[in-house]
Amino acid sequence: MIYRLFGVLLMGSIVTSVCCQDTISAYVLDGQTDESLIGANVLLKSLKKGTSTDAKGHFRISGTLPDQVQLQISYVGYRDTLVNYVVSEDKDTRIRLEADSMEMASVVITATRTRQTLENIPQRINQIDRRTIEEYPATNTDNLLKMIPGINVNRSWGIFSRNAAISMRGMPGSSRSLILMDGVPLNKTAGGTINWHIISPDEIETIEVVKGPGSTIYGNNAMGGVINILTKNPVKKLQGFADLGYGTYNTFKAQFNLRGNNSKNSRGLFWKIGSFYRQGDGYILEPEESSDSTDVKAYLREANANGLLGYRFSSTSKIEVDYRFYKDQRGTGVKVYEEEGSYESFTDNNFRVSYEGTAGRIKLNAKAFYLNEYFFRQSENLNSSGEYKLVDTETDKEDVGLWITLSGALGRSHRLTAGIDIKGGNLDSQETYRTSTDNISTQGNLLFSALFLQDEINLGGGKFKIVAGIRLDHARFYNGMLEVNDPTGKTGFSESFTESYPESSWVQLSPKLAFNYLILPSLRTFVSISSGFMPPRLDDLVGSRKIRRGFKIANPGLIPETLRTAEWGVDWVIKSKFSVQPSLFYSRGEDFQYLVATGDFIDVESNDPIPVYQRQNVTTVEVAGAELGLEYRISEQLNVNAAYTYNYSQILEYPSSDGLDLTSMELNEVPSNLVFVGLSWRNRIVNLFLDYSYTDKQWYDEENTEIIDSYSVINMRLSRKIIPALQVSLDIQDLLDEQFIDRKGYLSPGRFIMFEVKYLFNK
Amino acid sequence: MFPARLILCPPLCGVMFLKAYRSGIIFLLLLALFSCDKENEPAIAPVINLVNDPGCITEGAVVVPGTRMTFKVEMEMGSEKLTNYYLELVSAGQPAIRYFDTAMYVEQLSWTGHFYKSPDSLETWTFVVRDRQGGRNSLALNIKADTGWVYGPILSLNSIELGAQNNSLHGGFYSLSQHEVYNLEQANENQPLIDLVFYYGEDALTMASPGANFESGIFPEELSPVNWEVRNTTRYIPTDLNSEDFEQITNDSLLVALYVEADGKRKAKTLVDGDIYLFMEQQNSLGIFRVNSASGTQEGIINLDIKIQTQGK
Repeated sequence: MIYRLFGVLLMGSIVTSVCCQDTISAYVLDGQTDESLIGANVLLKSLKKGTSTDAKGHFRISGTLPDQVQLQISYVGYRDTLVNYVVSEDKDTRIRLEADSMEMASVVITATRTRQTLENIPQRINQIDRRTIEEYPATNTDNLLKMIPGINVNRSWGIFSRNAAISMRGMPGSSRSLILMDGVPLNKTAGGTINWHIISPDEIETIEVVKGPGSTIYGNNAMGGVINILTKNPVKKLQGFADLGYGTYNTFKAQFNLRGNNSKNSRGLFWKIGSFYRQGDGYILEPEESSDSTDVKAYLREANANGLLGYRFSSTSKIEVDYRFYKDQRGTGVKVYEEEGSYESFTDNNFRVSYEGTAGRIKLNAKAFYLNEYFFRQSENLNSSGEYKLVDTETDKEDVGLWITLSGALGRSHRLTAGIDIKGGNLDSQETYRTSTDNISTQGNLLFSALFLQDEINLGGGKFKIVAGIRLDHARFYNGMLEVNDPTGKTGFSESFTESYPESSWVQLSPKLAFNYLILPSLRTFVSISSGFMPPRLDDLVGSRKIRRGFKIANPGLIPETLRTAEWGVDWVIKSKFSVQPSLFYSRGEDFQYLVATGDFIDVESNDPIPVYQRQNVTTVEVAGAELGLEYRISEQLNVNAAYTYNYSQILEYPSSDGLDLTSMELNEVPSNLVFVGLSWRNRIVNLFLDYSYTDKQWYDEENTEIIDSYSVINMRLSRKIIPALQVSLDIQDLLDEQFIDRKGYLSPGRFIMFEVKYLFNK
Repeated sequence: MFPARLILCPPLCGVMFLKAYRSGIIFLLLLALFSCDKENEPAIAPVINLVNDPGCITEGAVVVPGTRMTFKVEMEMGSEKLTNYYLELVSAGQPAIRYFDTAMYVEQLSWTGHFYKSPDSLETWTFVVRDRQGGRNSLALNIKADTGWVYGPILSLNSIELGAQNNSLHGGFYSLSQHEVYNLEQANENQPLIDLVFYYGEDALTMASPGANFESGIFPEELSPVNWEVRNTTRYIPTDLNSEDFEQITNDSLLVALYVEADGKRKAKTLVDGDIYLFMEQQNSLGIFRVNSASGTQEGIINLDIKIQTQGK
């Protein structure tokens, strides 16, 4: 069947040819999931006829019609769509609507692990939809999160950064936010962080951000919030793109992504395949005044490949197998003798198998996953005495898990969601000195198992909703070991030994209670009390090594840190043009983990003794914050959105044994103010996206002695479709070329320009 | 109901699947190839050889304790650059002691070192070279003590007073051969005789020698030892000995047993009362000094007792 869909800007003139009793029939579907949209309004503008879709998302209009007509499709939660329909050719065509992130009826899945409209979820949720993702000049996926209030993104070396640091709601450190990709947790058990490079922004359909603690549903790491990256679904016979780009620092990029769906009558295979490659010469990170002969450009080489194969059994059940591979090598800006200099390399292999289905009135969602990340670092330098040091570090991290969720209605007003999550993590690390005989190995395992139950209670005809939930997590730490071989004093160890750490376990209870009141279809308010926790990282449980400020020793007795948050928020959409999303929250954290000086000192490399630190559960902290999200859709072509974040954080108690009192100190790496303003303008000549972001000053260290200055960045994208299948774009990061010094004392890349040509496949 | 019947479908439809997704399978195969590491070629270990030049120690040598032994070793890379070299001494059943743990990045290395033969009847010296990938090679030498040896005599020099750079009453330069104290001007005119230099600097009261580095401003530039034509170097090693031990030294046995050339530093820093340092002067005579008193800063003064071999080994 041949059909054609055109967007708003591609409307042509209507050619009229008259015949008798023609019929227009088509299906209206969700553009991401291909699910039927029931009750969508269909308007034949020229003849002022209209209808709505039935239970299968189908509609039919009969009468005397011209051969080409224009249909306007509207449905709550989706953008209004204009379609040119050729009566003689387009019978039973499929019309797919794009979700509208401004609308409160927009559907999200992350907050409750079930499909819910945004207006019904008593929690602050933000969505970044496909259109915004396509318009935004993002070099990496994490760039997109800057437009969300409450999120601080640190990627100070641009594409050359080893990784991005994401913090939410004043919770410093990437491991205090849970990151999902298609529902699979990416945070490594070993270190809590994720590799943001494994997915290209072009692969993403939507990003859902659920702010505030989410451990009642997700357990580990969901303290500041949950970010779920949803990749594009194959919904058409063939869709995708091929892309070439070239830019500053001799950066070259090539990418392709294809996806297809051969389903008929909601049954059949679907698939995805894609790959990207990017390389760049990079730039010198060290500021000129402190640079020496060993400073070289921090280069980049990275590649990704991914594939998905799925089978849809019916409109409600499907199975998917997904594999993703990523490998990079990033120079760290120092070269002494080795050809590649100092560099870091990640190799990721991610597998996912997921099944969605129904059993009577119960929906089942099961995901099994295996994530493996191998990290290698080659580090060479000359110390102040001119002595050469060459060290190889290898870390192998594995996570394997099974998440099963069941949900179903109970009576008229209850929807229960329950589940079992099992996840195991492994760390195997080795530090080998090549210029001496030192060798340090660490390993350890953590096994998590959890049960959770959530009840969504609808009252008052759907106007009032209560969400109550509880989750019990059990964790077991085992196989912890530290082995030191042939030390020379360069590592801080004086003799060879093997130490096995005792097994330990803990239990964590995460309750939640939230209320939502839908005052008007366009206005709602909510309050919630929720809880989150971050488990101890394997690296802190078993890892002992030299760090920047001293020597860190393992603490196998660490327990999770916990957070309780009270939140109030409002969503107000005015005439589908203006949306306001204010939120206020107060969080109190217990057993926060801090690096505490033990009072001991050790000799390393015959220098002055350095202090010994250990990560301990010592502090109580509080964070209070306000967020404001604004969006003004001036027209379909012109859109402005803004985000403002205010955070106040401090340490309430710090019972340390080393005499250092951090009470009343602010949390490090938490800027007080964040501002983002974005302007999107689509027009016939060239589409423009312009954004400004401001990051306030922040403390670098726990003692609040070193400050990172505030900085602002302006980015821009110009794009244009030369022909419907060919798009060119020009991205400019840091338009004003205002380099800044980051928290490690290194330079940002300054103005970075990338020109891209993209060919679009669409059948 | 769960569509169990349909779950079985994909394998049954294998042929269809292969046709339709041939390109995908080819891609995945390529991917698998891409993700596999290239098979490593067999690594070639580094080479290490002892050089039998005249005067150098060879396997099975019998040496008089206290004799300065010269070792010469040559190393060459195999498949990887040499990154680490060290030697270990095992004697008298004691745990191995490591010396010259050296970082480098070279294709080859020629190393010459000197050690004093201890009184132990058998010493095993092992020379180890390692490369970039951890490949290693080593050679071992067994050295026996000559049973016919005797300890050498020592000379005691008592209550020597040296002044720091601004002390107008006491000179800060000492000649171990002449047993004389010199001020800066006198020392400058007798450069070949000067072995010890006393001053106050960033490491407080310090004993150095003309061959050491001096912070700028300690001595006037035109007279500073850093600009001397002859710069003798004396190397110091701190000890755990106490005053009673020091008093009981009547021959060079303890000096020979304790002194390890590799451990010698060009400065004895932050000197305080009671400190005892071994040293070896430019002519390879071993000695030991005790700080009887040390006080002051730039005008400070130190009082020493020194015991030194009367003949270098």
